[in-house]
Amino acid sequence: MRLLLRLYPRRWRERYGAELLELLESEPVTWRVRVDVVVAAVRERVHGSGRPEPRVLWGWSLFVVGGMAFQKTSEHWQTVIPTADRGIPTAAFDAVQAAAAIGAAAVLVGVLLALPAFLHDLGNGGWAAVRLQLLIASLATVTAAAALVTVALSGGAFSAWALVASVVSSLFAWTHAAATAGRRLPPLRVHGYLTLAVAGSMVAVMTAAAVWTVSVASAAPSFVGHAHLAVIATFTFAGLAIAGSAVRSPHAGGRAMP
Amino acid sequence: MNDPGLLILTSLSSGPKHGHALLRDIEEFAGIRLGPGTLYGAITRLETRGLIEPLGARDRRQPYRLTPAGETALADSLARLRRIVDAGATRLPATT
Repeated sequence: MRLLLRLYPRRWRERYGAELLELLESEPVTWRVRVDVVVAAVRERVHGSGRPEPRVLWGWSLFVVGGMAFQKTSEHWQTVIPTADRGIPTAAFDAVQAAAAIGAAAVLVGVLLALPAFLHDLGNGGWAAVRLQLLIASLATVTAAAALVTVALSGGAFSAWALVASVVSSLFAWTHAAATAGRRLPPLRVHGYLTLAVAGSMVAVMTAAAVWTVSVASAAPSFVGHAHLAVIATFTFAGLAIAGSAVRSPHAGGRAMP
Repeated sequence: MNDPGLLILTSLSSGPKHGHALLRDIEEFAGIRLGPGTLYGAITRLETRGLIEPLGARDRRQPYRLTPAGETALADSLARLRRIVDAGATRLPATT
């Protein structure tokens, strides 16, 4: 019985585990009961609380930073690979872009689904809760735009690094604002599926990016630098770990009833 | 009609019950035997929505009771079901 309980998210077990165990120990445990518990445990893991999950947003943001580094690293890669050797890296690169688009679409769908509740919440105390975060995010965006203009006009390595720093700061500031607002919103019915879609797309991106890196590095060993690889790996692994933790251990709670 | 949440709210409308008593009561008045996983999945969601609340635990048995919001939700659901039942009862003779 305790093995069946392990199927539930830890936080759910801490709240309801003893009660469910007591109930299971007081009844004949048939196969039908076992299947019922397994299905219910899977539902708790998939649906979770249904609330917009800050860890998914933060995981995706970190992943985007890794993706930006990958994009920079892979610029003009076709010029260093002989045409005959481009089959695998081309397919892998296309897969990276397709999986990234799916992940971005899942995040966008979540934001759009939460938007009506967010707008409603603004008039019910939500504005006071998020105005500081929105102000900081807006200022960070203006700073990033100014850095972009500076780089476009004057160039220079320092300006380029300032642009990267300001863009990343802006991304994190908006993520923080979205996570703060998300905690106040009602559950999304499709939250679990969106979380799985985002985490699944991350796994697909990382797999395809690894295939691309190995195939390109084997044909042109000096093209992919170790420093770039370290940056990409750090942010993508961190992003996946954080988003993955939201899949593995969702909050207890759930769907609209009755 | 086998919505576990509605069955639990209906059962608790006659007073607080723990999981085992809920299963017995629901089987008695609705003829439906909920699985333990289904029961606690529904209890989780009802408590999250503030429709039921736990009382003090006795040993490992945790009784639950309806909240005022739960009573309102149950009344709304029953009124909606009643409209459906009335419509069905009115229309059924015309189709036979």
